[in-house]
Amino acid sequence: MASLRPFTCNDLFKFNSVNLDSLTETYSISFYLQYLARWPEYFLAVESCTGEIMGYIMGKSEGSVEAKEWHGHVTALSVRPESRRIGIAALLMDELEKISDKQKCFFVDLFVRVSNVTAVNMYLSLGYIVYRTVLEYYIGDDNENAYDMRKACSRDKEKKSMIPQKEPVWPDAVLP
Amino acid sequence: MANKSGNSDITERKIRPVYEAIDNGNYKKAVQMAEKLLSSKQKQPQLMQMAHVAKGVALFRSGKLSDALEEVSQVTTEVIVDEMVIQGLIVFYKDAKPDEIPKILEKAVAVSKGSERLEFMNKLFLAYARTEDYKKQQQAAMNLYRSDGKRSTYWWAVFSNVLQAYYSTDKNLSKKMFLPLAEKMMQKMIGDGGLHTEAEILLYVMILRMSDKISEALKVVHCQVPEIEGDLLIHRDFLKIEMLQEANSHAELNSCLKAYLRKRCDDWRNFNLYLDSVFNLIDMEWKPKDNNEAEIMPDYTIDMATEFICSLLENGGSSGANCSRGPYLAQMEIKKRHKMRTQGKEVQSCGNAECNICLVLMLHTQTMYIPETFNTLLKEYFARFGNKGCCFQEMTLHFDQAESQEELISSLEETLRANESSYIDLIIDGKNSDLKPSHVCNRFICVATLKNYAGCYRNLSFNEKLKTAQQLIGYHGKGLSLGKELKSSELQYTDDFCVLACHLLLDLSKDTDDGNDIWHIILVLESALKASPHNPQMRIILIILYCKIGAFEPAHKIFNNLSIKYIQHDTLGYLMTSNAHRLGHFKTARSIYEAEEKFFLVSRRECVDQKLQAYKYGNFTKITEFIDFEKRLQNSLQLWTMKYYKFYLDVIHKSSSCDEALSFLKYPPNGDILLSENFLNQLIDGRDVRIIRLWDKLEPNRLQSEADWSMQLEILHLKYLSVNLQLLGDVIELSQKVSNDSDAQSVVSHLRTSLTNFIDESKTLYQRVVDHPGFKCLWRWHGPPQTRWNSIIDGGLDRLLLDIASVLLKLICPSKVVFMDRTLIEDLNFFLYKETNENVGVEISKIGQTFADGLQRYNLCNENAKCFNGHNLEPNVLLVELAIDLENFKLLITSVQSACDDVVQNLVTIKDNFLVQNLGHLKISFNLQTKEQALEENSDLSDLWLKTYKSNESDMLKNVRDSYQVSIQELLSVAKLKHNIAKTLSL
Repeated sequence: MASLRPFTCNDLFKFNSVNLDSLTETYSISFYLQYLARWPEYFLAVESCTGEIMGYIMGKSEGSVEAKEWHGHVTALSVRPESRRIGIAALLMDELEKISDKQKCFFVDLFVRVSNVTAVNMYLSLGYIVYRTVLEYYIGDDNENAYDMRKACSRDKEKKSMIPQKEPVWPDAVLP
Repeated sequence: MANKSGNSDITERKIRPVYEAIDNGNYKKAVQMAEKLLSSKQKQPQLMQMAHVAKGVALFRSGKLSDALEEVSQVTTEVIVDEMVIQGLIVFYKDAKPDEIPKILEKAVAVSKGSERLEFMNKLFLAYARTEDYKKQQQAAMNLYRSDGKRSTYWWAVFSNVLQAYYSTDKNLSKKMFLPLAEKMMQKMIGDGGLHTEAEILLYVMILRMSDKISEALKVVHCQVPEIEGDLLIHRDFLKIEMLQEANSHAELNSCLKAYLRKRCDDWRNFNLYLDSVFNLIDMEWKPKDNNEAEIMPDYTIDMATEFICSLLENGGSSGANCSRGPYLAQMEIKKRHKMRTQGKEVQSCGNAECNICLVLMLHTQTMYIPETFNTLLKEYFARFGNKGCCFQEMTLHFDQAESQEELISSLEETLRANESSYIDLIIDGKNSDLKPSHVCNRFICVATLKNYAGCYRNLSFNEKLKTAQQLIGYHGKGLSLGKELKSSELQYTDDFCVLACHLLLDLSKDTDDGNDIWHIILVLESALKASPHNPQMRIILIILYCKIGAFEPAHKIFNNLSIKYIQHDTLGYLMTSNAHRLGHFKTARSIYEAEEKFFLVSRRECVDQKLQAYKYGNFTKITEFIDFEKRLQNSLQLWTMKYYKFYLDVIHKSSSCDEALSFLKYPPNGDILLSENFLNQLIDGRDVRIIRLWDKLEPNRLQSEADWSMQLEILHLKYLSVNLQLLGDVIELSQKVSNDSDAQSVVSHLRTSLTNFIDESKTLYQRVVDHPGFKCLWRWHGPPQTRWNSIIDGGLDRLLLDIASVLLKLICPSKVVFMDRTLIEDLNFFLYKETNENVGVEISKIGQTFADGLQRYNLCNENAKCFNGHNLEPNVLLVELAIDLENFKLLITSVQSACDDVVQNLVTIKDNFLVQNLGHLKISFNLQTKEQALEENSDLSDLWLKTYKSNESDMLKNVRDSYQVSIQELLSVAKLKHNIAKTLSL
């Protein structure tokens, strides 16, 4: 059972069971607040039947409309361990896609570690494709490549935004 | 921009390196660079002003606030209109003194013109918003709107009225003035062209809602705006449901929720609200009007609700892997609610077996709209969804309704055996390889945790519980073979078996009161972590357990590996801050406090900055949320506990002389050393004490009580620290004055007042603690950290401090003291050595005895052998701190003069013993009989016992031993430091 609702500042006090996951980053206060201040509709939480946070998604819309690059972007998506494999991530992604559709976006995109096979497979099952590889996107002890995955919104009827690029790119090509 | 002469570019180029140095933390270098610019021959005004400001920023960041303010004041004496300089001043003042920013901008607005003036007016509005001066920000916004005519600035003015209403203490004024004005302004703008954006709709809804005009707000919430295509955004759906609830529009709410549930029937919140609305309509005896035009007819009887749920069962896919769970749970929920409503309403028969009225009533109360029993429904639920990790939590919603929990549990166990052979067969023989390992494991874990929830393990005997734990550990170990392909970032399928086993073992540990059992559990968890290195539950339990045995370093290492940062300092930081100091890791404690303090400082700035961003993007509904969030962070219990501990560390541990202690005492974190009740009452507990997952149904309520008690006792402990430090400050300050101040009488009078206050405050405080329901309760291992009060009061430290203060007070009693030409100390000596009356003598003897008892109790482990045990760390820390307090009282009392010598000597002995010990006393064992049984019955545990006996070689024990050594070493150095100060004091 999962109740979708807007994410609020006070949820930051309650999201530990989600954020203690090793692949989930805890960001600075300003990072979360920046999303709440600018793209509140893109920041959603899912609550369990007992009111705990099972997962959340934060995203935004950005890019040039003229260049048909206006798109929804998934900044973070995480689900606590005991709430996995029950469709929470799919629910959150579906809602973000709906919002992007209503905001007249051409597509939704996201970055994922190439090693995170579970997540990559999940996005593939949701209709995303690997649009391109971004070299050394994740900085760390061993810099890791990211997949830039995409799914077209209804505005992109011909799904032009989903034609994959063959050559990998460096992060400066994808950062706004 | 203000300066278009081209000088700006040059200034910018020259000043940038100074700010780069500041950003890199090289404040000293930044100050030198700024000074170099200031001393240059070419006194270009803009550059000079910028250099003063940059130097001010560098001084401020290096903690020199008064120097920084003085430096910047050289610029602010003039009216500044230079854009770059003003920006620099905003950067400086927003941290140092935000109230100064509007003053600078008001002057700039007054003297500037054109676009430059508009720019300053814009900044002035934001400056008022920063300082939360809602009245002035409203005026500033209106002035700006009159000048720039922008729609966005008009909304700033409207929202400023809303804020005045929201935060006004005079609710009448809010309702009659601010909100009507905001609404009128809103309507005026709508009249001029309608609502354009999502944010405008939300602002209008907010105003109407605050004005209790819910029906109007419900109309507005449906407005379409050009920026959104199609249906409303989820935020507005959410808002609509909230408002329908507020307005008690049960019929409309019911229709609305039916529509939502048809789209997605796994939303438990909506299901609950839907059922609330059904029962409200039943209570109201609501019926549709003849001309009801609702698109979706509300459900106003149980029959209708049952039918609706059944329709969802059919449409939501009652079979298949992804069928919805909501309708199945809703079936149980409606049955539960119906049962609860009819309970206690049993029909009182009139005695006539054929009475029609009674028969009808009985028929009504016994109607079973869902005919199956709860046992059947729960079994079906498990059969469908037992393979999902969420099944346990969802079944607990109605588990208590089961007609027979015993039958239910045994039936679920039977299901496991019947359908899936056995768990161990699956693993060993590879049978049923078509089953997903996660599904099989989840089913077994669900049943095990449900048994725990139902209390099946709670009342087991020691041996039975141990055996169950062994069995679970065995399941965990075998299950690891199923998860060999899992990545290290993923959790093993059977991790929860291990965690549950540790819960049971910890219960046993509590039963036996044998701290040594904890070593076993640590070994179990350390071993499990090798297969599942990122399991957060295991890591947090380990943190708690290591601290329980006094080993802070291994706990700290695990904490660091969890990458806990930013907001988690507030919610989880307590896992470290409550232990570092207590376990004698003062240096680490200091660095943790500093990191946390930095987070809170930065977060304040970030909250304000993002609040201003929300104004810019027009997302007004978020602004009150940000303001409240910032206030909550600034009133955090964790922040103030940490600040006060840092202050305490400075005064008690860091200072190497009374002068130094006094210099620290001059800058208490809250302005006054003594924390007021008002201040303490406004603290908010953000600690996440529910981070450990619990499977016992009794635990959540207990945990809530413990969380409340913990907060109250922590606040009393803060008060305790502040009361002690206040007295310490007074004693040091007054005793220093004596040598300079000829009016010794006045000094003694102050000292007497201070001592009397201390005694009164302390007595009240100690009484509040011993009367507190949480004091003396043995808290669960997974809850909030145990209060330090038990150690303080059990160790007699409360009495000791009161005795010392009482003795001092008696010694300076004016009726017995004749202050002539002698100094205070001489007077005190005179009475101490020559005229001590009998009462004082008794008290002095008592103090000495209490101290000696403490040393004996905390540091002798068997007969006369002095050895170290991690459990004794906290009392030892308190003892050292007390000895330090005694030093600062200048060892006035002969009987306790040797106290510090004793402490130092004692620690040296412990340290020497510790180094040569092979930790033999730390051998781990349950009682022998149990252990032998365990070895016979379960070979999985035999490895564990073997590991235990080889414990001296294990890394884990080495880490623990290293941690103990650090604790002892740090305690020793602090004790020695204070001992040296004592030697320099003369009586």
